[in-house]
Amino acid sequence: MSATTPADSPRALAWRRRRQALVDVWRAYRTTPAGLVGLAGLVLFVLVALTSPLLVTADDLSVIRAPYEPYQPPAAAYPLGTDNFGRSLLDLVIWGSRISLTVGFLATLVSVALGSLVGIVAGHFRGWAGVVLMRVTDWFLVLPTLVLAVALAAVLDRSTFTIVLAIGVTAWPTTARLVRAQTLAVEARPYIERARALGGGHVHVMVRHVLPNVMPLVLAQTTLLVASAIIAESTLAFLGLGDPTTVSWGAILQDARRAGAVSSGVWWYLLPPGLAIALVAMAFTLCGRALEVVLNPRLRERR
Amino acid sequence: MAQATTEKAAPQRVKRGDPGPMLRLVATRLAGAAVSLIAVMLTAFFLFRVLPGDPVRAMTQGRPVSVEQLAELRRQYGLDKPLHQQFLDYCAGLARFDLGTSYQYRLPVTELIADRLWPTLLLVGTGTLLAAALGLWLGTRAAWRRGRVTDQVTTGIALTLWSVPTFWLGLVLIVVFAGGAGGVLPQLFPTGGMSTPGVTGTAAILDTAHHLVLPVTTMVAVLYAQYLMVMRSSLLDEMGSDYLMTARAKGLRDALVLRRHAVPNALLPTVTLIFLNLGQVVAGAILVEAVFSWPGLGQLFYQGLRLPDLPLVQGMFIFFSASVILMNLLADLVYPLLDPRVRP
Amino acid sequence: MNHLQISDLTVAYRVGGHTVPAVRGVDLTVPAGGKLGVAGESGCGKSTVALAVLRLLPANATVTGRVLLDGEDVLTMRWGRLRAVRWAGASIVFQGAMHSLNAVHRVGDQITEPILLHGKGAITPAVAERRAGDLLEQVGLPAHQAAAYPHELSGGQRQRVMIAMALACEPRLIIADEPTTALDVMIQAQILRLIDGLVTEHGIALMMISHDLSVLADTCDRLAVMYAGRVVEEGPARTVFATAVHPYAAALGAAFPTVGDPAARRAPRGLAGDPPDPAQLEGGCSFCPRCPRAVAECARVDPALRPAGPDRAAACILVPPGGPSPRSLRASAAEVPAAPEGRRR
Repeated sequence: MSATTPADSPRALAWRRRRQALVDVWRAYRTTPAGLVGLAGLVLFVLVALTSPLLVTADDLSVIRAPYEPYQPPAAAYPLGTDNFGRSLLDLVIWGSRISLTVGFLATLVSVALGSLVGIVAGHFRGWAGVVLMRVTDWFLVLPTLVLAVALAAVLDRSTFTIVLAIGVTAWPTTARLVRAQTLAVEARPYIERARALGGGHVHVMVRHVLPNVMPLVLAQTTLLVASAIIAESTLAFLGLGDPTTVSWGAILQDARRAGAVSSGVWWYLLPPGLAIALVAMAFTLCGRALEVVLNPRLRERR
Repeated sequence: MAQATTEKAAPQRVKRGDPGPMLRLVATRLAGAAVSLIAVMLTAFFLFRVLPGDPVRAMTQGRPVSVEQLAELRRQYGLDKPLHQQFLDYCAGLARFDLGTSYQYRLPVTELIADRLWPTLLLVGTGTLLAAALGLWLGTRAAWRRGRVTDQVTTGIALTLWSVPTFWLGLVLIVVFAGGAGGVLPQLFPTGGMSTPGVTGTAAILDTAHHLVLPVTTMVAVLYAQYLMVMRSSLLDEMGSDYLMTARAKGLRDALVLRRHAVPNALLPTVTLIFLNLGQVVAGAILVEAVFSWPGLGQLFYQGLRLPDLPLVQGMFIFFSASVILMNLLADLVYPLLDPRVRP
Repeated sequence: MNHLQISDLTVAYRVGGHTVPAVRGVDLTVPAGGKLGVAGESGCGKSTVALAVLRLLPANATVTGRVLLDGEDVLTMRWGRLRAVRWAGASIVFQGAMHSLNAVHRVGDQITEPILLHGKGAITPAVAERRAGDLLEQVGLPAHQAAAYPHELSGGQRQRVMIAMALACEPRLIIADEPTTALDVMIQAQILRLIDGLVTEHGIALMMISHDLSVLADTCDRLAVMYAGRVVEEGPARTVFATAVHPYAAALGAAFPTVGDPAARRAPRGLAGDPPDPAQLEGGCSFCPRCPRAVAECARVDPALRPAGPDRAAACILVPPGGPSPRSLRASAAEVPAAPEGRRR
């Protein structure tokens, strides 16, 4: 570090160090084949979701003026077959990726924000406040998450927002636990002592020192959470708690079941949405696990 | 590991079998569970009475109901009273184990739960036992052969199954094994339910087992992956331990080193996690029962949701949460039997 | 007759595509009932040698050479025979008994385990239990401690359990791998005396490994000093400790001053620098970079063990064949201005 010019402010130094750390993480990540596969899948799905308005038109999704015959097995015009109205399943799955991914990301955002907040605060204030927060976290951790999410979704208005909320407020405790453990580790380091001695307040220590150090692991956790959030979205939609007017992968499966696709053996109605969910969840899980291994050296030897 | 901290003289336990510390442990755990239960009751009240604004309107959503009928329903459910009075009534009811009356069945919720309890216990019990056995066994194997093909295949399959939504897996199993995959296969298993009408005697047991195959398979597929991953990683944590070197130096064969020394140590964190994740088992049961029309609690809950039958959903929310809390209490009390280090 | 005879033992670990030598051609012998001390810094390969005796090295280790235990080569034994030899032929007292005992089993069960295993059904559990009680009493613990779990015992008590366990199958050799590290000084002395007394009483051969030369000199008949995977000096324990001829052995001896010896206070202690990275050993004597007496030739010639007086050997080119006098050593060091500047501190 002696090579830096005196003009460098401590902040610029800190940023350079963080940028360097990011580059290092990417270098290590690149060497994990599973992580690269996951990343490729993730990029592919996000691209599909982003470009779906170009690929699918409103007419393709219309129930009344459906473009094809109902219940057609896969053919050239509709590579994944058609549903009970005669819509192409490929179009439905492409369109459904928007809601599924959006809900997955937003719900994760909610739960990670909540979990990080609770975790940092509980780790920073070691007194009774921290104890109470952790008790609450443990209580949430034990509760049957799906039952709670379902109950929330059942009493609130049926909308995508409700689903995001229901998943977000039930999925945060794991993040909170992780963040708290990390916060305790970070706050044991000497420079926190120095920051305090220099008059840094609680907020300063938490935001300036703890948060940046906790973020990497939170990132890994986030990636893993998106996978479960997408599965949770499909589950709630399948239980009939989603917004009935939107197309999501879970909603397609619910429609399929209601239309009797299961008993009549219309497998092409069931397979594509489920596989899409599984593949996206897989992609996120692979990325998250690879990130975890890269960021947590203790795990590295276990690969 | 906790034991790594000090090498100094550990306090000598003089009196063995002194009941004092054990009683204190039980008392603390009981108090903790009681607080958790109270929190569940408060949450349920807030969730189902306060949050919806007007529960009766929520329940009758989309159906033609007259103003008089609404008022009658409100009176029936005590919703015309002020909120604090409602709360007191609610608490008084719970104290008598009264979870309210279902809107769609017109029966006490406790009675409905009691009726549907056994099928769910059968399904969840079989599923959890099989999943735990499979997960622990495969996790042990994977850890023992870390990095080799066995490990990669086992963890790969587990991760894939973990990524698959429970209900979808159930639907696919129905299409393939009960629907005959569109006529390609024979119908190997029934599509749903728990028994064929008219079958009695010993045949009825076989019939139920036949009905149980697909739902249990679905539950196991979704649950075992987690147990596997936890067992694998906690066994890997033990792998480098010195006591395993001692065991090998004693001349034990590898299988015995694994079974007698590594596994008992690795089981501790795994068992804790299995109990911590019981809530997920409940979730799995709801989905599996909904898909396979298994006449248990999960299906009752699913039917309650469709309306929504708020008193029923509320009662079952309390019931599910309370059972998970009680199972965790049980785990807390059983844990010291497994691990001498935390024995009071 | 030699109970343990290690000849030309080499061990290399494969780590991420590289091969890292840990032991590079070691010869050691322990006669029946004899006591051999093996000394060296951490990472010099002394524990690897200990594990190699019972073939306990991890799968990524490549072992060559011969390890004759009672005339049988351990390295080429079939698995079944090897398991029978483990503990019954030679047992190990591991370092840090804290982690070497299984936390979830009672110590009594851990002692009876090898008795029952090697007893092949001829010994009933009741007999084994009685024997475990006897063993505990032999190591100075009350027999009822058999019911205790490791975490209920102190560090010294756990090490005693470990010793009782090592005696369980009446082996003819005990390998004690840093048996007193992580113990209080007072307890260390007790444990050493206990091991010493028990092996003498039962006529068991002992191979004791430690970084503490003075401890080994007190306990053992013979002493081998290891550096970077090699034995650099070997001879009668007292002589090697008092008048080491290899510069490393001398430095190691000086690192533990004799209490009450005024000369020890003034003599330089310890050794600058770190042991070499075994992955990056170059030609020449591996101790050369740290050696206070190194000459130009040391960087080129890797010396083999050569006789250095009656019943002794050392691997240093400054040792004249036939053995040195301390004076000649000092003279040769003074004659030649030693090694590159900056390395001799």
